[in-house]
Amino acid sequence: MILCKFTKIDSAVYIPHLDMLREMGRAVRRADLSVRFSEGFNPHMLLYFSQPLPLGLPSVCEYFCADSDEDPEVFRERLNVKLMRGMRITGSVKCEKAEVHAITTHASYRFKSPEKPFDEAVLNSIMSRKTIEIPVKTKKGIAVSDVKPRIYSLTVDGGDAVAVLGCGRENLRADSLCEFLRGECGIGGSVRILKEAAYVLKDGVLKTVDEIYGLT
Amino acid sequence: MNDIDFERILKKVDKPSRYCGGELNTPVMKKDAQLKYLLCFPDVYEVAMSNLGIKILYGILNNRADTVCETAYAPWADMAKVLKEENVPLFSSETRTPMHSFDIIGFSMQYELSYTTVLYMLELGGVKLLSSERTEKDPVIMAGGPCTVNPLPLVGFVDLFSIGDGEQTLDALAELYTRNKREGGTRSDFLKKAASIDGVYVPSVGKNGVRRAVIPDLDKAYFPTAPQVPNIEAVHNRAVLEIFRGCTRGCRFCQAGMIYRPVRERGKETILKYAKELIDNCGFDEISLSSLSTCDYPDLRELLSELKPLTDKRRVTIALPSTRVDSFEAEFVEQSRKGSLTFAPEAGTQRLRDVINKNITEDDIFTCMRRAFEKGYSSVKLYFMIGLPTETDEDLLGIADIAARIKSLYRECHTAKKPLSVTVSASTFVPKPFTPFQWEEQISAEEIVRRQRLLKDALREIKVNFNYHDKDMSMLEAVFARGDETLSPVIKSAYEKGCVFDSWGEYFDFAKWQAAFDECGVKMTDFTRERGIDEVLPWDFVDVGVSAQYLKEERKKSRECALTPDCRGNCRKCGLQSARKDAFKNSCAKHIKRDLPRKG
Repeated sequence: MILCKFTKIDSAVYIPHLDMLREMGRAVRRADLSVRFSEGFNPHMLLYFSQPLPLGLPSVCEYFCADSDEDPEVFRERLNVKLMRGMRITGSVKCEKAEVHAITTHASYRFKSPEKPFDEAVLNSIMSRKTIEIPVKTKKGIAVSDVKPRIYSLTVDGGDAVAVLGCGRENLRADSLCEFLRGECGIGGSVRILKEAAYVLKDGVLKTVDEIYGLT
Repeated sequence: MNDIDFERILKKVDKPSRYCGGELNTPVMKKDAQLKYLLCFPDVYEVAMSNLGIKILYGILNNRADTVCETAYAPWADMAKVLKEENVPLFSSETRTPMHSFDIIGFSMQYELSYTTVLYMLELGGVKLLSSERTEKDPVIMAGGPCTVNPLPLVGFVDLFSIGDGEQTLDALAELYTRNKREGGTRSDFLKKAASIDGVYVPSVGKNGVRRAVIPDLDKAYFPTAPQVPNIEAVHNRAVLEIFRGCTRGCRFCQAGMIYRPVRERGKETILKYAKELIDNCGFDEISLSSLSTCDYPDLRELLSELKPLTDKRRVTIALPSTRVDSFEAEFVEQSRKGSLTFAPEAGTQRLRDVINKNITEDDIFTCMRRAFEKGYSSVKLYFMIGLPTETDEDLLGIADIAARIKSLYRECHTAKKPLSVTVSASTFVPKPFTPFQWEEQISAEEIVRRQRLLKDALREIKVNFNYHDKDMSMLEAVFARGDETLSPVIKSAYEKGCVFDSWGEYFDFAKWQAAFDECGVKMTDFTRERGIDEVLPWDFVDVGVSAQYLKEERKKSRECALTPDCRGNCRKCGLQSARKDAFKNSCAKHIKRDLPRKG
């Protein structure tokens, strides 16, 4: 099994999750890499992806596992030659199990405002509240919800806001938080979001997926 | 348009990947090109991206050092609304250049009901709708594709038509345009000179000497083995490899079978080379060996036996459109999947199949079905037409009879555990120009409904699913297929009343079309009526290569239920032998006396 870390930026951010899966499968075929297939009526390439990224959100920390015996470095290099613009494998390593999607608990997002920097005092005051109630998308539509338990940290870095948010079962969409932060910080212009890192919270310690798998 | 504006627009629409560009295999766009060409398809991205023709032309134009070719497809209603609100003209996918800034804008016309969508795109792109209103500074509007064999309904909007194979015509037009520009020529100079290129019709110059362009040798023609791969799932999500163009079967209702003559094949070695390149460059899990009748490819058996090891190794399945299931080839590709079986007898009785020259007998049908059921198939789709010339109620009930007999055959010899699913689909016959049935009437709307109902009732009794086409859409297709210049104002009026995306059921509004016809004083029945055999037909000025004499003889034979066999064994003198000698020599002449492929 090979674990690959990849980017989804530029025009690739508009590719929906299922189409991105298809594109990665096509790229593997274009590169003539050997990946195992499932058995049965409709065999499919055994690629296991991390949780879906919201449409339009760029990320430099997406992951997938390929059921392959190829050398991870060769796999990365050959796949990069054949991938569409905006998608690039930035790291690859052998792994035992395809479980990255299951163990990832958090992700960090950078919010960049060209209009004016985020105010650290405002963000600190938000985090000091008992509850943080914002409108979030649910299956039944938009509902106001207390998202504080889903915000691990909210800091300022060089004028950008950086938030570590829950993903998976305790997911908080970065764009929902972004709208709230714009209002609180009085930012009228657009804010760009980048998903920067994926984390695993275990025994109270937050480690990046890269650290856990030894990805450099 | 800058990135921030672009992102803001894309955030407001469904499926932004239709408009974001960046498709794999998009070439680098030249900035200093002398000809900026915008290739347009008047339907949504997913449909456009499935069309092979525009991929061929895109490659040819971008391979020229002096030309850049970009693409634009019809934006869905949500995107159109945003473009209007933001006051942003429709732009190209590749460099987001507004449509009106291009030198030539070419539309691929595949279907009559996409005519209003051309106007929709032009208006969104900031281009004047009427040819007569365009000046020297405006882009040249071009149209090509199968609909343009009868270009007349679109003459009000199109400055230049490319009729027939576009490969050489478009290259010659690009050459002419850049030369004309270098020499300081004007737009009207270009149009005047363009009229003398084979396959080109320029309405402002006249109707003399308009011939369908025919490339003499498909094997030497350009083929795109690194086409753009769509960002999202297209209607046909597979690599397409055209193995031959044209068809020798001679079905009398089929326009494609007449206007793509003569049959021109790609050699086996070329196909194998292209197949490998397509897999390397696109990576689709399916490759379609495309043509009008794929099992008629003479070396299909050898081709498949050489292609299969490559496709197996790369985990690619081979799709053979128009497969006859009794053939070796069908078994060859259908080893694992036992999906649905599609079969097109077209008519319910042998008599009517003989009228239309569909060389299939009931024996053929039931032998195929038996083999398919024994192989494990449990789902059958049957395609028929309603309203064919001389059709009676007996012919219609013959369709139900075939379906009933298929059901009892399944009980007898099935191996699948599932119950049989039979679906009958019936389109309405649309008489098309340059076919032996170009003079026929299309039955009235009331009669279409009566016949659909008759068949529906008969099929309900035997519990067979029935799909049929909208009568109003079929009537409009017939009107535009055999239309003339008087329809341009009708199209404009319908567009102004809100008609767009007419081929999409949810958008089609026949009442608006009726109002447009009334407003322009044009009667639909003038175009759906039977034409006199010696009547001058509006499209007669186009020479497609098939002679009027041949079409008349074929029509006469249809009334005698006389068959015309496949022309691979023996030339039937359709006119191509003298009208397109080069192409004939390179293709048909090679097949005369060659063994016929197995009939199925």
